[in-house]
Amino acid sequence: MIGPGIKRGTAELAVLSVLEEGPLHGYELARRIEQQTKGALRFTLAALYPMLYRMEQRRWIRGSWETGGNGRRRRCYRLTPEGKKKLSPIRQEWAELFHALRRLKKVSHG
Amino acid sequence: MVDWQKLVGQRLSGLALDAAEKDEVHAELAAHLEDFYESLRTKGLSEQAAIQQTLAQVANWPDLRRKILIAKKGRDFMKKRLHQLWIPGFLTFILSTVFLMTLQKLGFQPRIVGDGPNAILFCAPWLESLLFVGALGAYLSSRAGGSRGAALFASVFPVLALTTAFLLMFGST
Repeated sequence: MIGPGIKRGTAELAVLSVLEEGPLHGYELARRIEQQTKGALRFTLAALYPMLYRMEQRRWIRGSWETGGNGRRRRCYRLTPEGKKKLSPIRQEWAELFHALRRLKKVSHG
Repeated sequence: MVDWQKLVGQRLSGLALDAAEKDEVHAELAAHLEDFYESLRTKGLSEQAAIQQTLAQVANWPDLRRKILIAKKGRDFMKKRLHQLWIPGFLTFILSTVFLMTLQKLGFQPRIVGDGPNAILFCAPWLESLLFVGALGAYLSSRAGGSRGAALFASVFPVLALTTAFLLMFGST
């Protein structure tokens, strides 16, 4: 299980990556991240929405109300062009970090 | 069956957003809780266990309210509120209290209106000073860019604080 400090940093990358696949509402987004990371990243409501609202304020994502097949209204988030632009450097940063960590013998043996 | 919308509305009461935005937040969080609850029920959890696990999604509602506000309005908003509301408000309160203590030290005797347990100490110079202290609070709030409401709150803060203290004292006796 990944600790909260590292999780915080990866959370935005996870949200942007999943939204890159298509628009999702908050609950589905959290479920999809949990599924794709095999439970390593899990968001409670309290952790998810402040982050989504913050990302919306930065214009990385945009939320809009949509009615689903079951007639329920849900606020769906989609990636904006700015969010798409942001995704690539964030991915790069994390890739560099993992690459650097792999170079450390102690970490790779740990 | 839990009314999630009502529950979120109650737990996030006081969220300082405009009415439409607040309703949207309430509806969105309620929908999330509803989906979460239903998924647990589908997995076979009892109603009570599902409700408990759903409620555990938020351990600290006041903290969530604060985080949502910061996320929606930015950290600057909290800083502005401090400068426009709380600093002028507490300053007026401190000034009025210090002035009252000074009057007492100088030997000023307040007039006693009424008698028995309902007697009220009436300190005219202090009451008059509240006008100036309140005006100062309103000025400081306005200077920091505060709205009329914020300026008004800052100016009447000592009255609100003392009235609350008064009511608490009388309420406890």
